[in-house]
Amino acid sequence: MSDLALLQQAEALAPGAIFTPITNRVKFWLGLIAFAIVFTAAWIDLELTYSVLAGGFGKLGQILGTMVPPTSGGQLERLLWAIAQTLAIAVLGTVLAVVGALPLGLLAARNIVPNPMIHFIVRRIMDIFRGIPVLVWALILVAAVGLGPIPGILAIGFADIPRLAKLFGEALENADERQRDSLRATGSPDIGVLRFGTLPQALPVCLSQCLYYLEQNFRSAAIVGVVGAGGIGFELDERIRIFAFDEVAFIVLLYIVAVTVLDLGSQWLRTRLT
Amino acid sequence: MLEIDKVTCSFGDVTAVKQANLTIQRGEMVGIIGRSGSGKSSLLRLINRLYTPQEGTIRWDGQTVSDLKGRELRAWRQRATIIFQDYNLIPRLDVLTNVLLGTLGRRPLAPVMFKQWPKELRAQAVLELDRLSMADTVFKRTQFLSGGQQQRIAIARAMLQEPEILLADEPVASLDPINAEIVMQSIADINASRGITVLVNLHSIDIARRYCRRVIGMNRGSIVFDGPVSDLTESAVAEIYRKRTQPCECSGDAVAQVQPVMPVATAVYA
Repeated sequence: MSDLALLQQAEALAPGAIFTPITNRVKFWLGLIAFAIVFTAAWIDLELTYSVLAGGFGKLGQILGTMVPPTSGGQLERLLWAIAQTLAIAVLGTVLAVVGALPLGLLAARNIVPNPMIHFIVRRIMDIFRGIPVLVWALILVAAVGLGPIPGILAIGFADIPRLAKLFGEALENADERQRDSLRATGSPDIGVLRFGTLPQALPVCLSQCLYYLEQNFRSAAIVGVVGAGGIGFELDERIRIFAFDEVAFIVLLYIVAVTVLDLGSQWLRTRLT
Repeated sequence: MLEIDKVTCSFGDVTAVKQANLTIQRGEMVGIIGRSGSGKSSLLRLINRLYTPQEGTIRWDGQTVSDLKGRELRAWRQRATIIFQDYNLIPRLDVLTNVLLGTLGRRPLAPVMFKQWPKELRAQAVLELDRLSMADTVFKRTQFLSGGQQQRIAIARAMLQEPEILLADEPVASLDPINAEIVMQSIADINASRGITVLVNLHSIDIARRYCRRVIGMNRGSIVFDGPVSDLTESAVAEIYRKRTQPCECSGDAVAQVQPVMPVATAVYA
């Protein structure tokens, strides 16, 4: 049998498998063109020109130059305390977020709360609050509560409650129904199914997410510090304002070390817990 | 000809395959039976070289394949295809793509990354599926298909490798009896019509008796039986499935009491 005859035979068995319809290829190219248009529009909208970019990079080079050699400015102890404070903000903020997210996560899981109205309402409220980033919470709370670590803790907690609750809810919903069925079949009450059919599946996922959020919140805590919530962010902001970039570089290096240690620690903990 | 010579493979302190010796001629269809954990899967994975033996050699037509590396190793894996108990298809891809993935080892990389295959290969895939009565599913995602259908897709994918050996690791253990027959028949057809050497791990001694002329029995990593199906008596099966390799302190009577884990339908097929 000739090649063409083979192709035609296969095409007859599975129409469209050999001779791809032209519409499929058109769709691909239309998608590519649409992306190119959006990309160009964004570029034009932001008035990005090569001279702007080149000028920016030039200045960046100058600043980098003033960063060497990094120096603590004789305030190492103060900076270490500030990093400890930032870590404390991150830990307490994360704890607040977890405590707030647990009940909401349970309410948001379809297989825990059978009433569709409840989890619909919970989910929509969470959607709305998830739209508020941590920095906005921090700006509002610094204005309301005043400078210091308290607004930082609250900002991180408030920002993460809806985010973690959504993840908790999804972890619970992703629990394998067959395991739950097997417990239901033993005549177990719902709470027993939740305890032994859902929790063992969802808990490692949730713990891993909590640790990930702790890592992220250490970064967030530094950022909210810049807007007045204390810690290392506050120290950083002070030195940027007076162009002490050698001290800025020192803080950044110190911070990178702290972040790495925390990440390694939580990674170690995660492999132990999950 | 496949020659396995004193092959040993262990993981930590667990020895999966112990001093295995085996010769298989081209075109044979050989069944491998034994308890779970007796080393059947490891033996197939050693041949396909997903595992590497710590000792011994594996040769195919005189070429030593047990120490291949890199490109040559991949070329060997393409020639010794493997199908799995749980099919191991890519559920999010459609059937046609899954089958064409069998050509990953021999196609140029750039078009493959964009899921581009020549018309001839796509036709080959469709015809291969048609032989397994699966041509009407080409655009379906494999996750929506039944176990028997998925195993046939896995066979089609294996055939696109244009292999010389087909290693089937418990291909029908997850299937109902009717689908098991369809899949075993397809494997037997491939062996008969294309001369592809087949090694198939089986839980069911009944199936081994009907589809294989030669059977190998494994117990705790060692090959304890190798012979024609006619030699596979009830006592030979009991020996293969015996719990301990050493009779320990139990008497001859006690050993006789140890029954094979699988029901043996000797009377029907004897």
